Amino acid sequence: MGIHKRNVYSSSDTTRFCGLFLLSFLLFTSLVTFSSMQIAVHAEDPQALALEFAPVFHFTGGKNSIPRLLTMS
Amino acid sequence: MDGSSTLVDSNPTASSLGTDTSSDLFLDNKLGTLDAIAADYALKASIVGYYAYVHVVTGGSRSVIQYWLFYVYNNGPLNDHQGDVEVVEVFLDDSGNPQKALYSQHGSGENAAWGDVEKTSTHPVVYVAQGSHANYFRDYQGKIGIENDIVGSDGITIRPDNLTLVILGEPGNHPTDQSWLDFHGRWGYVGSDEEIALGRAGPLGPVQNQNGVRWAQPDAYLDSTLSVNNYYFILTWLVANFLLLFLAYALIRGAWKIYGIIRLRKKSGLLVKKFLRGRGSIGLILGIVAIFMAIVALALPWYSITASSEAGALAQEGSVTLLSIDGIRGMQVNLFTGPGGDSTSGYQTLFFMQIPFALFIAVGLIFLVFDVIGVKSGKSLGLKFILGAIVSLLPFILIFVFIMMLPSFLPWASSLAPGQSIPPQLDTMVRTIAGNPVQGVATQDFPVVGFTTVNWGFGIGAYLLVVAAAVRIAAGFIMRGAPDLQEKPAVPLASQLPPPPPLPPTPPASQ
Repeated sequence: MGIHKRNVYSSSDTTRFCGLFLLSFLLFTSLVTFSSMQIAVHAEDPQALALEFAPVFHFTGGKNSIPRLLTMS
Repeated sequence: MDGSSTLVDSNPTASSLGTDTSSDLFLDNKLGTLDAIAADYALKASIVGYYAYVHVVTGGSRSVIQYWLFYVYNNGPLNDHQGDVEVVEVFLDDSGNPQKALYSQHGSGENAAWGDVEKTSTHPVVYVAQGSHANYFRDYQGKIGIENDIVGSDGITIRPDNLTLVILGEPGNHPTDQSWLDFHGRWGYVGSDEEIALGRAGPLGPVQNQNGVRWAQPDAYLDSTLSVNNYYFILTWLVANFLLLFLAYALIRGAWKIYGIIRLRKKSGLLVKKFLRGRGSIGLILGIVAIFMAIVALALPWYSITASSEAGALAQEGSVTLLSIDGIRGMQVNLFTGPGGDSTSGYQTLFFMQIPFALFIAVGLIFLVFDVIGVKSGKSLGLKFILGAIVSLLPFILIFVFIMMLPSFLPWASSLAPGQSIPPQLDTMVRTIAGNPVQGVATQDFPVVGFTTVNWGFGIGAYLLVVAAAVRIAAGFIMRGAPDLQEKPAVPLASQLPPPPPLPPTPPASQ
């Protein structure tokens, strides 16, 4: 019989930490890449970007109002 | 078409416009009038549909999406002309997340942080003003500022799925059907220099609008607009609903006064007869005279600025009123927007001076009647008269301060006529007026209209208002000097006191 002190960190814990760190790094880089891709998609597809933030127009009534947007074509 | 212009192309198309790069050109709608243009467009509405022209500006890693909007006619409170060009912009950060929105309004606009923008999903909500097509963040805006727009949401709604979005190229580098981007002329009839200055000329296209700043320098345009937030929207809501709030306040306060009268009648009876028998009646008569003077003052001019010049709309017999303030119509500015730009029409009510002073006086009069009926003491009623008189001087003080601040409104005036700079003579004239708001005369030599003499000063209405206030204050002091109306227990006189008990005999002094 003797008094044993439990090790807080074991070699298996260190391996687990390394794994978690690697996983976090991969997740972070994936997110950054994904965001860049989103920006790239926006840059390449202005139509999609324009549609995403296209305004909703509420016109004021009244007989003098001309609530129409005019085509140039 | 007048004699000052020559027809160069009777049938221009979107593709042919790009070859016309002279800034002296303008497109003149063959239908001419607003009614004819509106009727024609209503007929073609189902075929034409709704369009927004999108221009994406990328600066560094940031992007700005511009939604350019075109209208056939602008008939806002201030500017009346063929064609109208407006823009709504969304500013994105380097991650593509929206940060700000900018809505154009006349020659300027407003911007707000994305969090303060009303949205439907990712789509900013825009309230378009009647006729002027100025864009607002809330449907109760438009009452603060020189534009005085009518804004609501009772017209049609155009959602993104009803909107055809056309992605624009750049000047000189665009699809053939976007040749109009290179057109340097105006999108609507342009008359004389005077008409341009009065905002009756058609607008410049997106690329040329405001010297190209709106198109190519969104950050510079953003800096030139008013930044608004939720606190500003609360302020605009209060302004928009001011009349309603005032009436609610008047009803509650009136009901409270009536309740006080009923309570007094039950408790000790009304004291008004006793009040009127004493010096209070003199104070009250003076007070009523003061009220009538204030009512007369409402209809008389409080302040005016008149001018006469050698040529143009001001060259008429006598002086032409440029600005007038009174208690009924509030503040009116002559923008010469009436037929022919004559001096007898075109007055527009502007700014916060739409406050109904007549209503204030009427409500004050009703309260005065209640106060007299429910009078408890001459002192408190007199104090109310004095305080009321001081408050009635507020319009006088407001006008004085407003005239002193006139130079600060010059940039706003400039924004109403994009591309037109304010003549230095006007700047000098406005500063001269602001330097001596009470009264004055000044003459300046203006470019188009020649020597112009301007007279300004407080009118008889304002002085009558001051006299009325002085009389009311005197009435208040007389009332305060009146004896108390409440009965107090009488203090017995010394002679009426019962005789004191006899003093006990003084013992003889001990030997």
